[in-house]
Amino acid sequence: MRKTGKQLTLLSGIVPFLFASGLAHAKSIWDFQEPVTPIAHDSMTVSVDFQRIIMVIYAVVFAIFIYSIFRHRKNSGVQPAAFTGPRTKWQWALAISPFLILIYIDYVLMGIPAFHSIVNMEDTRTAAEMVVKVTASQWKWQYEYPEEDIRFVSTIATTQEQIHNKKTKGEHYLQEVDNPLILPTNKKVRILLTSTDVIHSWWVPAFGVKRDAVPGYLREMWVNIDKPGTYRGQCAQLCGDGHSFMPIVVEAIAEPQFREWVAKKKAEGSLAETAAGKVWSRNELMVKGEEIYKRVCIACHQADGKGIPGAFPALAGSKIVNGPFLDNDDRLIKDGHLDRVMNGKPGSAMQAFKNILSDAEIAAVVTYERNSFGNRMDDMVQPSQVKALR
Amino acid sequence: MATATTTAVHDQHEHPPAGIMRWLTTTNHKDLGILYMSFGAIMFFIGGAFIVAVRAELLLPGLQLLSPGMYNQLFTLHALIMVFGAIMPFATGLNNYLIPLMIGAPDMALPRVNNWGFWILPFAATLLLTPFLLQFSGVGSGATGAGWIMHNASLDLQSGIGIDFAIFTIHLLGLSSITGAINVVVTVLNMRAPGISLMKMPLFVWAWLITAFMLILAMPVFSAAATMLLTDRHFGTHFFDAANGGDPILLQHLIWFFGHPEVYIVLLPAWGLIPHILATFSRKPVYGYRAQVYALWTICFLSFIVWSHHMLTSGLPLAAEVYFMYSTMAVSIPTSVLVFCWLGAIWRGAMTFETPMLFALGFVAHFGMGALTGLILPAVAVNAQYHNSYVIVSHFHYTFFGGGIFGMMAAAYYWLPKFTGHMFDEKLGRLHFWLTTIFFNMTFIPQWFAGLDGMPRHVADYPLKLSAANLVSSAGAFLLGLAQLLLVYIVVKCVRGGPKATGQVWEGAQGLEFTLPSPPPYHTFETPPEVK
Amino acid sequence: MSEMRSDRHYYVPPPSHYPVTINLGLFILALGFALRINAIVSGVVPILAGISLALYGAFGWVEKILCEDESGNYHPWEDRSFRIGMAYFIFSEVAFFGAFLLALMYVRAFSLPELASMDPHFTLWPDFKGTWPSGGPKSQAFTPLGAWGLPAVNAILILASAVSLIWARKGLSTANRGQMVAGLAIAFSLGVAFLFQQAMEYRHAAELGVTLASGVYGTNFYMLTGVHGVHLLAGIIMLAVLLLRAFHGNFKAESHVGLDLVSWYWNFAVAIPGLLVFVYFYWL
Ligand code: HEA
Ligand code: HEA
Ligand code: HEC
Ligand code: CUA
Ligand SMILES: [Cu+2]
Repeated sequence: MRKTGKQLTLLSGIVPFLFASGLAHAKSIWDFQEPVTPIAHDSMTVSVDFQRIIMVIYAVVFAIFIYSIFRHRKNSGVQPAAFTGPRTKWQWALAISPFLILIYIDYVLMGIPAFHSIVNMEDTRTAAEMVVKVTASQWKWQYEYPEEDIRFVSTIATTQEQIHNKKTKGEHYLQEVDNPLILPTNKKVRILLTSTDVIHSWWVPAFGVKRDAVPGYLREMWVNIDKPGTYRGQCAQLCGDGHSFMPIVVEAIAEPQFREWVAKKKAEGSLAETAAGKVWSRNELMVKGEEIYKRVCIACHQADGKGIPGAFPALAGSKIVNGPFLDNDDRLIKDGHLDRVMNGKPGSAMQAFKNILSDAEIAAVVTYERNSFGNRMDDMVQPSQVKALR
Repeated sequence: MATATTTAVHDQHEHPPAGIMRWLTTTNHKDLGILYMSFGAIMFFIGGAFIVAVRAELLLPGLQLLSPGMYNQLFTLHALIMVFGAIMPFATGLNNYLIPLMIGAPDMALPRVNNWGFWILPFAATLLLTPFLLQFSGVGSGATGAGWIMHNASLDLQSGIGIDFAIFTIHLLGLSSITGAINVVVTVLNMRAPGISLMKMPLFVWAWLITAFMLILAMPVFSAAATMLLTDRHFGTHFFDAANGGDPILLQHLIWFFGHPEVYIVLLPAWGLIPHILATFSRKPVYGYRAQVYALWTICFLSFIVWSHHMLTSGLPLAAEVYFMYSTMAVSIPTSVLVFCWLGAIWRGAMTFETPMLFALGFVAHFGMGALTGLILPAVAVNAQYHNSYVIVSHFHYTFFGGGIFGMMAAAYYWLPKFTGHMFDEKLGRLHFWLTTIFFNMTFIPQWFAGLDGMPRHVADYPLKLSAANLVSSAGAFLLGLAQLLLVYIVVKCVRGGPKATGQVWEGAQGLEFTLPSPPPYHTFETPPEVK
Repeated sequence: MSEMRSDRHYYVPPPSHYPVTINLGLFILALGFALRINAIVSGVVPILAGISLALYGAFGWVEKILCEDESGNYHPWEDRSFRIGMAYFIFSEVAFFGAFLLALMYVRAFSLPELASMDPHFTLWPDFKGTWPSGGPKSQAFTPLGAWGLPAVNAILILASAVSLIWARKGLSTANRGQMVAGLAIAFSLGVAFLFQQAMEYRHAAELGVTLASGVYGTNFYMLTGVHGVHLLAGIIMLAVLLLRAFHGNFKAESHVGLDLVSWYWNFAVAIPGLLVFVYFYWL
């Protein structure tokens, strides 16, 4: 029995110690990532306070347990008592008081700050200065600035080689994207969320926000970033095979730079418009197509175009890819290659890419698929054709 | 004590059929209890083996062993097997074996239904695992990888055939749980020996009665949700399809309406038996009996009105968020009643620390952590940081493993001599406790901090800064798994022999089951015992 | 309570293979069904085999119970077990059905209005109004079903059948066997009539364009009535068994647990849900 006593001391030591050592380094391990929005500041204080409160409760109750375990042992010769409940007034008071304390903790100490933080978090519309619309799809984010008419897709930039340990991993392994979301600092930005397929969830820890993107519905939240920088997060709702690879990167820049970026992006957009009018060469299309394929399609159809049997069809040797895509009147052939890419296949993971990709991008990727992975159709699609078919 | 009277009715079951047929056709509550418990134990190891693979993948950043799809399948199966295959059947086995003994009944009230309820389980488990095995022969896309709560199952088209198998598994499990629960309710309400009024029943029986009520209300809703999922996927209905007026969030509401009570269903049997063990080894009567009964009822009631605290990031209206936060916090009040009654149970006792007592105290310590970490989760604004991060994984393993499994282990050690007639190896038992405790904390404490630092759950891979936490956690998980092999050894050794156990087994043990010899005869209490 | 058990034994049935047989049947059924809807196995043989095996087990079991009952194995103590058991079984059925009703209410109270009233500038479904009856933004057009034709008649039928069961039960306790048999027969025929009417209602619905393609409206219509119909069918089979037993002279004033259980089932798991469907789907 003596030995057990020692062991119990050990146990009683370990657990509070772990908590206490955390307390001592409060800045390092009990915190969330460094907060940069009002909500994040708020929730970090609340979270750290709450964790302290429960640690204190735990320590107090556990201390009483340990005391009892040491004092009330058979081999120290005590006679067991026979009470089955509180009897005297004093005992009743002792029995009731923890609950009063707990109610106070629940509804005053914790309840009130928690309430204020919710109201603050849900106040998405008052004085919002700008709107960004986020559309999630399997496994990418589309960002849209409705007031500026800017739209682009953001996907993971970490390569398959890095993921499969064939190349060394960079500093921001898994948390890097091709096109980050750009937001101005010190501006209340209202973020609208929706999805095209399954429920995803947009989470950037430093902003203190996480909200589900529900297909067919709009959800909203807001951020007001107080410090320029690059902030990283990721999808937080199990959304299929690519869920681990759906990062979010936000670059917060000061308002003037943001304006510049908007202007540049708009110019690019009109460039793309004119580009759609030009006649592309086969080579140009192939180069651009490969880039798009690696960015957008590879997650499902794989690098070798063989897909994943049972889940994603192979494009190599596919009847659709190796078939015609326009009929004699230059209309889309239903279930033809171009139709499938532009309009997707409802009810499957293959979505309508005309909502996401530009004319040139669609033309390029279709051309690329028709002439890669062993497919030799030797034809091409021009952006102008795609434009006409939208 | 019970004396066997011979009458015409009685002699039909003198000789149970031999061999496998005995177990397939048995209506005896002890046989079925043993079956349930063995099934639960086996599934615990299968569920554990699945998660060992998961932890192996998470040992280092990058993908080493599993494809992401396989990863999703493994943790989903892990969760379904642990919850529905391990803990629930084990607790049901305990109730089967013990309730009739504790209330002086000849058997469960509906013995054939009892057999029915058990023998669904192996079929259900086979059904769940069929697609997992089929994929290796190139058929189908594997088992369900949609998570145990299947948030996205109505929409996630890659889940393929696995979801359908899971749906039918849920139907079978529902049947099993509901028949089992009905049996408990009927037995408790109708089979108590004269003199055992409701308020004299052991707490374990109370806890199971309440669990049974919860099952009867919650399980059908789960089946209904699964049915809607099935018809949405295959027969053209639109419950969860926004374009046709449905809502994917509706599925979550339905499933969490079941899922939240479910976590208490898992824990209530343990809450019921912990006071027995604490009282025995403190050599004191149970403390605060009435308070505990009322607290259990309150928890039962509250558990049905707080479900949306699992969906706080899904964009509920503000009023709903505030309501679900406050109602969830209310659960802490009755739960702490239990904790303080456990404290009262050992206070000024004459404690000794045999293995069951160690596990019971371990239960208290770990469950306390799990529950208190739960207390801070419903704060909506902060929940945005916690939700679907490893903070949650840490929280619920403290309740499920630190609570549920520790509770079941305490019970197993406590009654093992009663079941087998032999004492187990006390030294090894204690070793098992200490190894389990240490490695359990080593596995799940780092997860809390990984979660605070932004590690989402359900991911097969993670950023480099989280490597250290995951390395420790994975190492802990392997060691925790290995430590469980010790349990197998102890149990096998105990079944095969050992010092004879007396009827009372433990010095301070009270209760009708300890008035019987160990192991109790095949039929007990054929005429009700007299209880003062 | 103690007097009812006196020194009597509680009847613990001998080992039985029927439960396992049912389970095996259900397993084969589920397996066959799951493989078939995923086009991995095309035949219906496993499904049929599963159903037959389960039915064989179920009927064998019921027959066993009836034998035991008639050979006097059951006493008030066992009787009470069946009653409590059935009460809670019905409770679970109500919970199952309740989930479907709640889905209907959720759709009407939350999802349709929310789909129609998102942010004014960014709405995803521009022209959608969201007032019930509606099938959602993309559903096919349909004419909503009226409440005061067939559905109202059906509601009355089901109510009447419940009343006639109560009347039959009265007949038993006043030792009026004729009244009992008549009551059972009436309830049974009303049930069958309901089922027939329901089939007409389905035809009518199809004419009005209410199909599964009419969004949540069609979904709720077919699922609610379908789930109810399955319970009704089960109830009708139970009533048929009761009728047969009544013809055989079963049920006495002091032993009639079968009759009571079936009438509870009928009243609470068939009649009341039927009325709720009428009120919440058709009427309000
Ligand atoms: C048995 C299981 C169990 C139990 C008992 C609990 C108990 C509680 N849980 Fe937990 N929970 C889960 C299992 C459990 N949970 C699971 C499985 C999930 C995740 C599901 C998923 O997403 O997959 C989850 C998730 C979960 C969430 C959702 C998080 C998210 O996904 O965003 C929330 C939010 O409110 C929550 C809250 C609570 C609360 C308030 C309690 C309360 O009951 C706690 C009340 C008790 C107390 C507050 C303690 C009182 C004690 C003392 C006062 C003294 C203690 C001290 C010592 C003993 C030393 N839980
Ligand atoms: C009762 C319930 C229960 C129990 C007991 C456990 C036990 C364990 N769980 Fe489980 N877990 C859940 C319920 C449970 N879990 C649930 C509900 C989820 C959520 C799933 C979802 O999101 O959908 C989950 C998810 C979950 C995750 C998150 C996965 C993810 O989101 O990506 C992790 C990760 O570490 C984890 C780990 C563990 C570990 C290490 C154990 C260990 O305690 C297990 C210890 C046991 C063994 C290891 C088996 C015994 C030994 C052998 C088989 C011998 C061989 C061993 C070796 C060779 C080492 N669990
Ligand atoms: C989220 C996964 C996913 C992504 C990303 C994806 N696809 Fe697909 N794709 C699918 C699925 C699933 C199908 C099968 C649809 C069906 O027929 O049910 C498919 C089918 C196709 C087909 C028809 C192949 C055949 O033989 O049936 C083509 C062509 C195609 N995709 C092209 C593309 C292109 C081009 C891109 C990128 C711009 C792309 N896909 C991105 C999932 C995806
Ligand atoms: Cu998108 Cu996870
Ligand atoms: Cu919960």
